[in-house]
Amino acid sequence: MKRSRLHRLAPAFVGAALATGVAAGFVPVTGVPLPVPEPLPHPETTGSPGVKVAVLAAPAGERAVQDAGDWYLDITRPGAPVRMAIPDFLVAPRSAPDAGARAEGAAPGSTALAADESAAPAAEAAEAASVASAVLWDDIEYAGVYRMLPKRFYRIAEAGSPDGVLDYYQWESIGADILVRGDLRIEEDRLVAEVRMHAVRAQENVFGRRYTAARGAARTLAHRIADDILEHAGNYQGVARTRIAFSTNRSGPRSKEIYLMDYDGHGQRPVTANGSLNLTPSWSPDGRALTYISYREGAPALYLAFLYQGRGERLVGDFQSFTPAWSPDGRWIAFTSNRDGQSEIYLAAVDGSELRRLTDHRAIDVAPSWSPNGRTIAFTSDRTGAPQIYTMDQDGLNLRRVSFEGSYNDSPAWSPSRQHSEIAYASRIERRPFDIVVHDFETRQTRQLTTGRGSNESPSWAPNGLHITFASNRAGNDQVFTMHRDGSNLKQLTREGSNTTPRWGNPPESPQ
Amino acid sequence: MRFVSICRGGPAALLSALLLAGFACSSVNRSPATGSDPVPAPMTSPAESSSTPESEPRPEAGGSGGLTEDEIHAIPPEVGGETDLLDIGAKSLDALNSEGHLKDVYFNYDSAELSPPMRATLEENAAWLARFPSVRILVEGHCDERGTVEYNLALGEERARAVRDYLRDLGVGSGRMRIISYGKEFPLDPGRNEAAWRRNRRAHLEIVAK
Repeated sequence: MKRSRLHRLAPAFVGAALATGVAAGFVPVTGVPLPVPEPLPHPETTGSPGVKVAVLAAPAGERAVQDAGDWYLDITRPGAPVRMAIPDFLVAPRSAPDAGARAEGAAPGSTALAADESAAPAAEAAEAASVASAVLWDDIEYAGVYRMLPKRFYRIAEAGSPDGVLDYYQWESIGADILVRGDLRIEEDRLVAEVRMHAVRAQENVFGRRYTAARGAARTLAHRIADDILEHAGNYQGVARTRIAFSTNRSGPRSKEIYLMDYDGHGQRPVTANGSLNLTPSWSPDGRALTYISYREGAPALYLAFLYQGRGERLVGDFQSFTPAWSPDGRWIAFTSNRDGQSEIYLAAVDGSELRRLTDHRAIDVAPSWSPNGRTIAFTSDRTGAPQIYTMDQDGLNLRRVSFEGSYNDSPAWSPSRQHSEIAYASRIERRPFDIVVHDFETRQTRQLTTGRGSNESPSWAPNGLHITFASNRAGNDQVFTMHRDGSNLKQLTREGSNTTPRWGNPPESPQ
Repeated sequence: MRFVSICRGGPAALLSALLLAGFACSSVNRSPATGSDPVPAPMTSPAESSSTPESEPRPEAGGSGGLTEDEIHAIPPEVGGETDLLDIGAKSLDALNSEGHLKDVYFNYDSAELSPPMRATLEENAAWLARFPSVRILVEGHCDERGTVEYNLALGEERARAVRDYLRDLGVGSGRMRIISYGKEFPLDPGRNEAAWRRNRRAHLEIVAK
């Protein structure tokens, strides 16, 4: 087994890293890391340390909110979905000696207070507030656990308290259960946002934090706020700061490079730039590295890309290798190789020190995927004459067939969720194109998430196990989409070129 | 024009030109080549091979000597069949590949099995390779778009392996062949119909050294 072969990743990483003076090359992707937010004093209990946190609404299941029907200004219905109001961020004046009190007292028209500032920063702050407001809204809505109160109602609540003082009764009157208000300003080279979450009927400020980020990092700032809001409002693990790696041909017709993007499709940028074929990325469990196959040295071999260091290396060469998958404990990479003359699944230690063969069958064995506890590996085999999904223990024993419906099943992806034990895969039923289906091990049922629009392939779970990304050619070329685990809330993330094999990962905000 | 291209080929081209001229009459045989080539050619991707069409000079080329450019001119004009006098040394890899001396092999859906007509095609390919024992090939396995990305990578590998194994059975030395799978990444025909899919389920034999 060969190792080393250092190579540079896309110049965008390294160059930008130098420009910002940060050792790792990941900064342009994550945005500049946010420092740990400072807690604000609780307004009603001045002097109490820390942030008061209350679980306002634990979502029943992960999808308490069904499709919104008509809107009523009446929230007395029992079992009604929790309604969240998020007014746009206000633009706060530059200096804020009494931040806590001023934030609560900020009037909708508080931009006028910024008259002493020069026009340019004021405009920049307004733009940042606008971006952050939109991103925060989208992030919370994406989770699908709250019903978002339309912004047109907010004027009613705000009109009842023209001095900008928070009047809980006004917000309750328009049906808000949770109110998230924030303001944003520019201090020197940083964006500063202060955000408070209120339990409207309890008339309580349950959460407050001050966030700082680099100017221009309004999206990153909002993503962080969104994940905090979701966590503190309903103990929900948001995906606003997760990323999706994928393979794209946009940089050349005979090449495919590995790219990264935010979960919402923003910030698409290259990881590799070698002009060859680079396919099937897989995240390390800590989100700091990818493994993928590349044809850069001829035959497809396994490579590692260390995202925060802007470098990569070859892990396994010499023979053709395909479809790597990083184990949940970070120590192993499962992959397919023909080194023994037929397609088998192997394990290699991440440091290249060991190689173990798991399957032994003259049929094709490919596309391994680890269970969350790392003890079982799902994979595709055509040992019955057609590709079907199987599982085996990580030592290759205890083979079981998972898929019985469909004439062609591939690309198993084991859900990382602790609540749901399930595998998503691409399934062809009769002669139709592929659809994404999910097999639930507990109910032994298989549910179909996409329905015959184009061919839908290569599913991959969000780190919280509640969303799935996949590639579909329903819009012409292959493009990357995301959807909820019940198939709803479909979103198209890519539009340029052909984009395949998306893999959802959870990189940390900062290299440390 | 012929003169220029031969000069560019250097001593290797010159030697093979003469050898070919000499062997042309007796090279209709189908006997297996020994294929004991000591120096495996480095694997090159299609992109690389098209940008650098000239291969490294082979070791035996240096020892030929004794030929001058005048003698090149002395090569008689082509008289026999075109292939009998094929001067592979004088042609770039690109040119050789575009002339289609080695035929693609096609497969059924989700299959790496060689049908009788495809075996016949491979026998022709093997005969051609026997005639030019210095030629090395890359066997590329390709799939149509209807399979999945992941499985097709393995299926393309299986197709390339089936072709390589049959060529080896026909006497083409293993050292002359490398295999690679491109899955469904490089379709020949971008269409979405049976005809396009049939063309895309193929093994392509790319000449990577001569």
